[in-house]
Amino acid sequence: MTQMVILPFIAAMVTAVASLAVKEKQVRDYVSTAGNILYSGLAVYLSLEVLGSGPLSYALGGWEAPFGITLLADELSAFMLLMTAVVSLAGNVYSSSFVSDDAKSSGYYVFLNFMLAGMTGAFLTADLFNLFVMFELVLLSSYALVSIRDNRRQLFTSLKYVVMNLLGSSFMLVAIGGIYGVTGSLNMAAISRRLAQNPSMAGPVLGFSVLLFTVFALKSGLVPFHFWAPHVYSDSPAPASAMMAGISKKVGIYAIIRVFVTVLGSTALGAKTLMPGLEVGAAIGTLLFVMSCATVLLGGVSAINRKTLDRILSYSSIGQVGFITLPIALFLTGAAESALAASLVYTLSHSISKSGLFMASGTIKKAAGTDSIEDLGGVSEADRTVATSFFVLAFSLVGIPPLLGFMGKLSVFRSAVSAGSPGALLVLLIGAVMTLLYFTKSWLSAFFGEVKSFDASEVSGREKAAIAFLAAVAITAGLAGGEVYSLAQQGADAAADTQGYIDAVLGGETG
Amino acid sequence: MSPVLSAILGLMFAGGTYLILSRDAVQVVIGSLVLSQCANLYIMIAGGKDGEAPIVGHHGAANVTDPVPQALVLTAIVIGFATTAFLLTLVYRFYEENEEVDLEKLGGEKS
Repeated sequence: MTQMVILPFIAAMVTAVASLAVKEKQVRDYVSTAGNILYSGLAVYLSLEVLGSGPLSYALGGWEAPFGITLLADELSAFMLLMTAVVSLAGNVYSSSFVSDDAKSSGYYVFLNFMLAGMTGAFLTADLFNLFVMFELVLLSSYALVSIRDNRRQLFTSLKYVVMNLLGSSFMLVAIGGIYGVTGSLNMAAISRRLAQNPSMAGPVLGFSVLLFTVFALKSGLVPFHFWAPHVYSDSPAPASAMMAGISKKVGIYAIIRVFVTVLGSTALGAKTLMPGLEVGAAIGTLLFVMSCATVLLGGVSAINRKTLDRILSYSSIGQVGFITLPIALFLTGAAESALAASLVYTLSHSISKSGLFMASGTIKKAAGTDSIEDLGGVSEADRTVATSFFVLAFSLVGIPPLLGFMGKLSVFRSAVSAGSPGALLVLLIGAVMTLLYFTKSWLSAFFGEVKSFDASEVSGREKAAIAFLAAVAITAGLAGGEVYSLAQQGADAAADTQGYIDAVLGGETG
Repeated sequence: MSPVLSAILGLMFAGGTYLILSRDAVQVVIGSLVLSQCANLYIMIAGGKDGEAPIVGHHGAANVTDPVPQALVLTAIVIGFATTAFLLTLVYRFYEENEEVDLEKLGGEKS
């Protein structure tokens, strides 16, 4: 039953098309939610299968690797898929009540589900060009989601976002074309194997991989490629920002891990080059280290100064990505073995918290007519469910035990300690203090005090349910911290095991 | 790889970069279009030597062109087409709202 690898992708695609076909408003909501429940079920089923009996590969159209496109579900893909399933399900339920009928008739669900399909494909594919296609699927859908409200400011944001990503796509295409030109393959496992056999290929591939890295960094919003994120997140409908900040950003992170840890990690430059023995992973790791530190600091500082919830969350999601990529950098430079698992735990924690927070902020903005933290007040009085969930999610991100974020923060800090890098530790510490500051600030001024303007009748049960669901996940996953960590550890082991990846994709065949 | 083609590719990259830095939204769109074509041309140039058509059972198996770059470029063109169509619609809506396509004048407004 290797076909089940592609089932989650198909489920998302079918849901997208079905929600285009259905015209009835109510039915459309149900179709999309039902599609997502199906998606989650398939993702869980696939993940259990992978965790139980090892990686599963599927050759599309029966074209065997390395000639056709191969999909591979390993423990890393499974981890990402489970995360996506949770966030996307909540996002859909939330959307059904939050998003206007106008936007829904303009194909809101279609784009949301195509984005889901693109992310799923990106997590599963073992083909570099296919990864590009999946990136484009995610991007095209997100272009449409950003501009769906169609007012002046959104159009401008959308224009900037599209042009910049179009540029990124061209770079990615050049890099992929170049890597194909050098190695003669697009299959990531085959690329990795050929690089190991022909050290002379390493030099040009390092060059192209830096270009590729730039595109992934743009996608995940690392400094200095972060400037699109705040506008896009605060101008999109809340559930769309939740999906973009929560999971579509993580596609960039996943691509960094997959390409630079699994595929190119141990490729070393040959003896006749300028820096013989330099590993692609270590070179990118150094670059990533500097960028991550800048990301943590700049994101944190910018978030503290913002006056609206949306903006605080948008800048916060820049800073938090730094917490995810810093351990990856420590891993790539060989400083800390356990860092990759830490990064994955933090990815999960950030996805759940940030998507829930964006939804909570959207609901508060709708009910109170503003999301400026000075004009808000007493939200905790006005709506206990939303406020409690906001509290749980925000302080999970800050890292308060026993929530999931504590697990994430703890393991990230531990990897910095074991790497023996005082610089990384200092940056993380400053970042953590800033996270605490901006969440405390927004909590104190928006949620305490007397109720200024809050129309509780605007808050629907489905919105509350979606936000509370994510908060509950943050608590449960925090209590089951050991299991979550071992899941992440399995994902990290799979990511670091280049030979295992090659064997799984190419089926142990030589050639 | 033909030197003429490489030179043309360089010029196109330069031209595309120039256009994308422009103040005029329409020129930015054309610039991004040129740059995505550059990427396609790049793949074709890097895609290896000329040869016979890669059709099974057509000629002898010797000296055939690698079909993969062509397949890649075909896919990339379709994606580029979709994105450009979207971008042009976006610029048109942008013009309808603002009666202006000068990005510098519109970029001033802080949100």
